[in-house]
Amino acid sequence: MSRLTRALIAAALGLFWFWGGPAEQLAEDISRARAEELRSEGAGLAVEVILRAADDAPDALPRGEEALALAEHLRAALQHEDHTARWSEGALALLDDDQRAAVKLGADRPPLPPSRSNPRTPAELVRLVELLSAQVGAVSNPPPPPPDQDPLPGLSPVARARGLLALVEAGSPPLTPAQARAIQAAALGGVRAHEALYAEVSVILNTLDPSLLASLPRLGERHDPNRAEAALAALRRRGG
Amino acid sequence: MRAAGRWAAWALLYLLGAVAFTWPMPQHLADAVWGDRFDTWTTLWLIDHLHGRLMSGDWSETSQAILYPLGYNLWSFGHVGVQLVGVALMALGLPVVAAYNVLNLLAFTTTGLGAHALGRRLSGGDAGGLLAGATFTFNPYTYGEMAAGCVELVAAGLLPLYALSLVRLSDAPSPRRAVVAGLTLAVIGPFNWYYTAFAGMFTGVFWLWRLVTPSATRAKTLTLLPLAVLGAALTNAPLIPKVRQETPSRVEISAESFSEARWRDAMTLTDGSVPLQALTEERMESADTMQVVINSTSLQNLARGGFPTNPLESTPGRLAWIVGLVGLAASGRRGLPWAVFTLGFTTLTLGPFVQLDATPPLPEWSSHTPLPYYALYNELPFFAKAYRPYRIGVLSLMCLSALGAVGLAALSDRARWALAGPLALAMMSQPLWTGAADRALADARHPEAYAKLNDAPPGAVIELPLLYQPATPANARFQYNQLAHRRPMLNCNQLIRRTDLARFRDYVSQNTLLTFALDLGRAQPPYGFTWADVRALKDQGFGLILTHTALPEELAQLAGDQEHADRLRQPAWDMLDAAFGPPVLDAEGLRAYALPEDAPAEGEVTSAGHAWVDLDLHWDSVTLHLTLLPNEEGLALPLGEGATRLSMWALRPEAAPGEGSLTLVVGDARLPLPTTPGAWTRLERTIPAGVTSARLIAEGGPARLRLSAVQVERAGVSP
Repeated sequence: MSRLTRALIAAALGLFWFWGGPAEQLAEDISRARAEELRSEGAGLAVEVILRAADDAPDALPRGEEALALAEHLRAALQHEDHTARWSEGALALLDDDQRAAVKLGADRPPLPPSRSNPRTPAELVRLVELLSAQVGAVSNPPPPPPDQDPLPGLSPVARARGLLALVEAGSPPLTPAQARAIQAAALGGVRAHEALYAEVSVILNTLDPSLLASLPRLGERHDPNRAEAALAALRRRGG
Repeated sequence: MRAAGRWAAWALLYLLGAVAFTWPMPQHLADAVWGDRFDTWTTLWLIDHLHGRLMSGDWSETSQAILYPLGYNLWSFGHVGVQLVGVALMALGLPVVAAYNVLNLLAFTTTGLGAHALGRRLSGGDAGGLLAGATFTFNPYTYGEMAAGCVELVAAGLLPLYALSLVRLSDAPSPRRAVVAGLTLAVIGPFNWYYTAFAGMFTGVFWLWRLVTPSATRAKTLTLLPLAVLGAALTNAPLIPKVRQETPSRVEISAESFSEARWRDAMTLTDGSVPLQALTEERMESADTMQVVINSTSLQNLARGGFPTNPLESTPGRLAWIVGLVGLAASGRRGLPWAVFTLGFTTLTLGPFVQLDATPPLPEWSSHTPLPYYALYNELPFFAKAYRPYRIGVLSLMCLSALGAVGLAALSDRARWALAGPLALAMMSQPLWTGAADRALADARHPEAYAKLNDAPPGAVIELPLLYQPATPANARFQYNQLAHRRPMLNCNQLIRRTDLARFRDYVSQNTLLTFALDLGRAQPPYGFTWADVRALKDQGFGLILTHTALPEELAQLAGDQEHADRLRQPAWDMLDAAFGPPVLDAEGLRAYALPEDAPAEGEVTSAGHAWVDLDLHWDSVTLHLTLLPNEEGLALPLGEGATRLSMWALRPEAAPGEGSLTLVVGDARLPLPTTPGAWTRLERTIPAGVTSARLIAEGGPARLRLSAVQVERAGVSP
């Protein structure tokens, strides 16, 4: 085999490794290895949910009581998850300040904005929460929740909000004011635990009209996380 | 002459490559910089400050412009050579931002040339030079360093030049070549001590390589090489005390240093939220040590080799690894030493323990299995200066570049160019097709209001909130904006160094006005300070307290969960108004209070007497970062009984200048609330007696609205 042939084969192998999937797969495997460690700490179930969601296999998600149990574990477990993984920002949304401090990177520097090249965008990540919430919603619907009672107790705020909204979207009977307020409070509570950089939830604070709830943007939807445009706009505003 | 022309052509090519690699920065050469990290602002400040001093013939080591009145030793910044190049560019007439950006472009150019020279030597032609030059210059590591404001980058090209000098010495040992090697090593010192340490590492492995490789020149090389290093050390001997001053001594590391509890503690310190009195030496050392693991490369990042947003996660990158693979495959045994070097240096980038990902704590098995870095850090003198392991990746890059060049040497001339050309092109354009170039530039123009301080009373400045860490981008810019007002200031970004932080702690904690100013955005009332301490500061030369009534939205976004640290709440404003008002400047979001000439000798100012409470708006916290969508009737504000004043921070995210307005409807009255476009704006309004509710309406423009720290003062309520 000539040296050129060997070089070309090496180049092809390198290209395949980085762009063919094995590199990403290894990164995922590393996350799984971490999950295995967490499993021994009693949080593995929740991590498993995340990994299944990350695999884009919602059908594999657990249902029923298991889903509720997993949701309860989620909040405690996610603090250990790799925040650079593509689904982790959504996980961060479920954490309180102390927990997020544990996963924050760059101790001597303020956090950097996400970027298109580094897929920290929440869209995929929040999908995890949506998936789980939808599962939870499926558990609770039917029957419709009794009035003035939180139909999804024990969940994190974001998961509860998503679950309740899932009920609305599924054509559940109109929410009572108390339930609407519960959604609102849940969403707000969830966003409170969300880093400002990533959080953009629109709420209608001065109304409890259930019909307006349907127009709520989905949790996690927000403006372009990349602030290039914002910065350049700022330059323009100042005559640059 | 032909050689000079050829190198000029290559310089032009690397410069063009740098323009493509750093695009769109060259488009905003004089008004924007890559990244928005405190390193960048500190470096900009230093270049301009040094320029001013040197032009005025001031050669003293200490500056009073920051950390006033303690003063700051300019040697503590390190990499003097880099700054002097920046000063030279300013002396040529470039403004500081342009000088900084040109410095970056020149850094990429000279780095390319340095690696090109090494590659050319190893491959015997310019194709190998191009491959090595492009590999070493255009990669995630250098991109990350540039975007983080780490101007060590300017000295990167010296590393392959030094390696070239060792190769030449080894090929044909002579005293002259030993002198060249020694001088090259000596030059790295003033530019960057990290890279000096890295050059030392490379010297060690190169010497070992020569030791185990039989050759006619071996004995002479093994003798001359240590002499060259000794010569370099002697040349830099006067600077060694400065090195020790630059970086505080490092404490030993162990697995316990990186426990989850210590990690959490380090986070609170680096967020600047630990009370000043709690900043013990032990705690600061612990946070300092955490830098080692934070700055280590994880296996996950190594596997991906992408362009991460966080430079601490950067590695040589995908294309560099491919170049190394190609080089090894083509060169066979000849490339093996460089491959071994790469493997060794990459192992060092992993830091003291294997980290699967970037999340603490360390895996249990990992903490029982130290990597080579662990022993070297704890045992080898000076090695601990390289306390950011990921940066050793620059040596991995150099060896990958060399490996690529050695590989090309084994191919035909046509095959060389066929491989080197496309790979170099791909590397130069990487940020454009990986999306990294989509990241934001940071606006580097000073707010115009600072210039208006010329008319304010004289004296040094304390800018609020006073933070002991650059926890938010807005705060990190205070030091940079010193260039606009040119007054000495207490604020200083360099408090990331624990020795300086200890000095700051000791100074600030003995004055109640300074402890009041510290972290004022996050501190809760009651507040208080004594007039005696005001007089003390006045006697020390302080004259002004600067505050901000408007904060750019993009800076708030970048501050993440520390956003509220920048925003003073109403009780703080009341204190400042009561003690020092009216302000001597209140324009364009900047408000300046003058310290009085005739402050009382006794007595104190406290927040007692003002009963501000957070308004109950159905959500849990006034620090929520929500975008609100008020309907046509506006956002209801339940003021409650006895409301006398309302205050808040507001942002209209999508409003252009002059587009629409914010109005507070109180009974029949409509009170305009002027907001600064694109900025969080502090608002305060008196509430007529008897009014218990109000509405907030965004009119004539986008309805979207963000609120924070909505507070109401109620009469008859105890504070």
